[in-house]
Amino acid sequence: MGIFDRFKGNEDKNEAKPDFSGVQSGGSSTAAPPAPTGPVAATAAGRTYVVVKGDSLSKIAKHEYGDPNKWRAIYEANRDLIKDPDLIYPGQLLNIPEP
Amino acid sequence: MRHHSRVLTAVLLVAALGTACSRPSASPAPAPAPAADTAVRVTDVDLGRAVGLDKRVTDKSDSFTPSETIYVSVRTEGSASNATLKARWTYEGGQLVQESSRTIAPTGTAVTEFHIAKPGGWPKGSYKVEVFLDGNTVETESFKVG
Repeated sequence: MGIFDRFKGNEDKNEAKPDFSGVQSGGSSTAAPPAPTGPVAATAAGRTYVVVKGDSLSKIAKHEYGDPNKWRAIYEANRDLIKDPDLIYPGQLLNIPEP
Repeated sequence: MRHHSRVLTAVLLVAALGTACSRPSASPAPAPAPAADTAVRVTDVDLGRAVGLDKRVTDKSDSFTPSETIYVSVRTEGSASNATLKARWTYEGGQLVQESSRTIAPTGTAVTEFHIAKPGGWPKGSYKVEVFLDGNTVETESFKVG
């Protein structure tokens, strides 16, 4: 194997590096967030939820609030993402407003 | 005369003891610790496919399919007005997948979950999630996607 071939081999390895730019992440805690230390603007709640296969808005509402009937709150908070409340997709990252 | 000297000795002894007791101690007592603000510690870290309302992993696993959402649940004990937990997800030789953090003010036992999903599917291989508390690594868990 010549120098050029070895260089080409390295190039191929670099190309094989997977792309993680589309990864969605989130988190939530049973602990409260720290109290604000200064005047802050009202912000949306930081909770998020990643839709998995078999989810529906009512199922998520039951998971997050313990009440499936509160699905509309999630729908309203994600109107830019959800066109039809009966159609959500695995991998979608939804904002979960405070109940 | 003998009686007088006994009384005098007793008086001197009491005076000497009083002086000794009022003398400042050689090593002063340490100042009280600040209100339990550094007492938070991570007691458990679990990986899995789902979490419950209590944020604990309900389906523990260290092996996932490419389409699954991966959860890490971090249990902490203690109180703090401000503690930051971070999950750093890496692939194979250390390629950064995602990093997310959450600042909490726990008062006792708390559970914080982080999750990642990749709509196009995870590349197969070995991954790690490193959990940090206030910038210090506290636990590393390995898992596979295959």
